Amino acid sequence: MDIPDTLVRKSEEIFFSFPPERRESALVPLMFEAQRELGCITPDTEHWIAETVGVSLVKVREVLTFYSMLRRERAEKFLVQFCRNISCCLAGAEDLQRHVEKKLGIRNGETTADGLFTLRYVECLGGCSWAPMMLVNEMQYYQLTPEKLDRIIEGFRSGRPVPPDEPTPLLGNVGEKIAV
Amino acid sequence: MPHLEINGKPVEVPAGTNLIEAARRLNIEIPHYCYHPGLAVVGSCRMCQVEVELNGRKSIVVGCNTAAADGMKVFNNTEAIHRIRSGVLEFYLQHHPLDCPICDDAGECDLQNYYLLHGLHDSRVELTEKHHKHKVHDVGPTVVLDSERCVLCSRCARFCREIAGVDELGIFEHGGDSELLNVPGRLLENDYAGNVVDLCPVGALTDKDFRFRRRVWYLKRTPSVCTGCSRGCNIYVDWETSRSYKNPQRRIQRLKPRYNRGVNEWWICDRGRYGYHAVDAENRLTAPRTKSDGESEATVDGVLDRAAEKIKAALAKHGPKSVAVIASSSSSNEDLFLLKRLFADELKVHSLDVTLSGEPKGKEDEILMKADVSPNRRGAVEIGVQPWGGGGVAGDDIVASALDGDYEVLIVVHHDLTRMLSQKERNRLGQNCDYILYLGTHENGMCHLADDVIPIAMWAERDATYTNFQGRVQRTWRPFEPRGEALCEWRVWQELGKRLGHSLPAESVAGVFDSIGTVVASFKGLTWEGLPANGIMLTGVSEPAYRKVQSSHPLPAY
Ligand code: SF4
Ligand code: SF4
Ligand code: FES
Repeated sequence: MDIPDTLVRKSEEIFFSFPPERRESALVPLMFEAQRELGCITPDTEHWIAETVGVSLVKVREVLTFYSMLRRERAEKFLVQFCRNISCCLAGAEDLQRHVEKKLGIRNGETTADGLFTLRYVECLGGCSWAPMMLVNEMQYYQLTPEKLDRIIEGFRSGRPVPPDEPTPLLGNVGEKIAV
Repeated sequence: MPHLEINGKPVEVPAGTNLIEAARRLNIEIPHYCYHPGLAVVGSCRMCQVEVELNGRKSIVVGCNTAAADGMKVFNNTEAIHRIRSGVLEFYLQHHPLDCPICDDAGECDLQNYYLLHGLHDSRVELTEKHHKHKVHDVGPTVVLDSERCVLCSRCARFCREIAGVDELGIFEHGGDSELLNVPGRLLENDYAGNVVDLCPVGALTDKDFRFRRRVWYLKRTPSVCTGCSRGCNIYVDWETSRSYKNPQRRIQRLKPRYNRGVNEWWICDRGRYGYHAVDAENRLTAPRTKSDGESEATVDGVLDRAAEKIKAALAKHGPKSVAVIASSSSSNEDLFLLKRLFADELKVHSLDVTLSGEPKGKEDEILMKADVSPNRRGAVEIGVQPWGGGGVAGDDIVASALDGDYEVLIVVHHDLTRMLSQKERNRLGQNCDYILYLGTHENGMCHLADDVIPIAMWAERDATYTNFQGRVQRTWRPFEPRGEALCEWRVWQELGKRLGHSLPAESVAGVFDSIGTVVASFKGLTWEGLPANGIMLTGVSEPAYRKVQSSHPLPAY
């Protein structure tokens, strides 16, 4: 397949930032770069990545399918990825799921009739401290409530998105001292 | 060497032994899915948790990734452990399909086995809520995947990477959606693919060759040795003959590898695994044949009588130079020993060899497969079935001389000469040899060219020994009788010997083997009774250094 020159150049920069014997470490950064350039990672791109990184196709696919942030199809306008793992569920994600399904009129994996939203339930997105959470494209929204969800969705509908949340040291991040 | 206690029983193990292996020495099974002694430890299934007490501290650890330590007390059967394991099992069974009645693995499935030990809970999941994944998915030419049954232990993927050295299977997606699969467009098709079926602790990977053939509890198991090449991997023959409504011709239902540290460890190649079909193939020779007139139906005795007459006449008229034998390194040590005794020692036949340059060759790799597809060439060499004393004639020269009409009698075992000769040469061979006797197992060109044909038993139908390329003497056990009138090759030589006035040693295969042990230098001291199940090195040949059976370019587990 034709890989744009910009991506090839970018890949060389990425490889350069890792020691040659750790070329495999470039896998994830390269996937992000490819996704940014091409919109998603198709099987052809997987082949190219496997070849240029020097790993097997199985490995590329294992990584690609593991991370929710990596896409295999071009995203719909707004891809809503909703965590359904334990921390979020303990914090009420199941009720929110029903709420968002009703609000959008779609179920897991479906796209709204106007093509605006695709809903997907995914595994942990790494925001347990601010559960329940979701990801809309690359924007994170934390500590969701039905009201907050409504606001966010309306925001996207009206073209004035609610700004994404920043991780706050609410409960203390790993490695940070918790003030007493 | 750490001393430890498992369930109160003391055991001493080499440093570095993990708790699963330490327990195994006491015949205690610590349940496990992801661990396999031949593969890297990943500690992912959490089934092997045990309670451990060391230096007064108690903890719960995974048995696969914890090394035995001096003074350790391990408990495999406490209430806490039981609760943990049923919890783990409940997760595994949460979305597991109710397939046992139609699953090939039922009866040897570790989900079933451990559920009986630690589960016995009712499902809390409605049938309609169960997740669905790929069913009856073709992962390769020989193996079918049902990923709803998979427990994601990754043994199969690790086998492909670490042992076969190819990346053909992976675990894709994330969390509850995780699924073991091949990559689209890439198949599980390495030469060792069948091993993943043995490794799979559940019925997720099943063998197309065995699918729906038999319930495993009907199978009978006989230890044996693969005769697919000169490595001689140790195997089990799983066979069953009493269900005549299910392909009555097929006696062997499947082969499974049998552990032998010095030969094949836990694995066999697919060439060996599926090679057994030859035993019950439609073109097996089951009755003697003859071209001589006046005999409406050939009998083994009739053929033997005539062969003896022909040999006698040839020897009387032209001496031993007029008889040639092309023997086979697919024959057992016992066959070759009696053949050598009769033809070389007694009848002084010079034209005697097992090797022909046109013999079929197989693929060779650094894992198991050898290019020499005959299981006993080393045995033939040791016993001396080869051009001897400088005056002997080598296999290819025997064929050339036979074409030139130098022999009255030509005896051929196994080799299908017709595949190495042109049509013209075949005709010439038929015309120029007064008498050709063929001993074979399957219908082939030789059956038509030869004047007489004796059907002989195959490896799975006999007790026999073979010497592999390392010099390891290994035996087979007979699960069932030879097909039809087929008989063991050594019996043919013994019967022929009687008719020629030479009585060859022993009436049983054990007796023949024991006399090899008294006559052939490199078999000195070996006895049939003394043959261990995993074989024994020839006298004076040392056990080769341990070598992990593995591709020379293994891929890391993860
Ligand atoms: S298919 Fe079998 S061996 Fe492979 S991961 Fe699943 S359970 Fe394990
Ligand atoms: S490597 Fe040779 S002996 Fe081993 S299973 Fe394959 S064919 Fe049989
Ligand atoms: S066997 Fe120990 S975690 Fe799987």
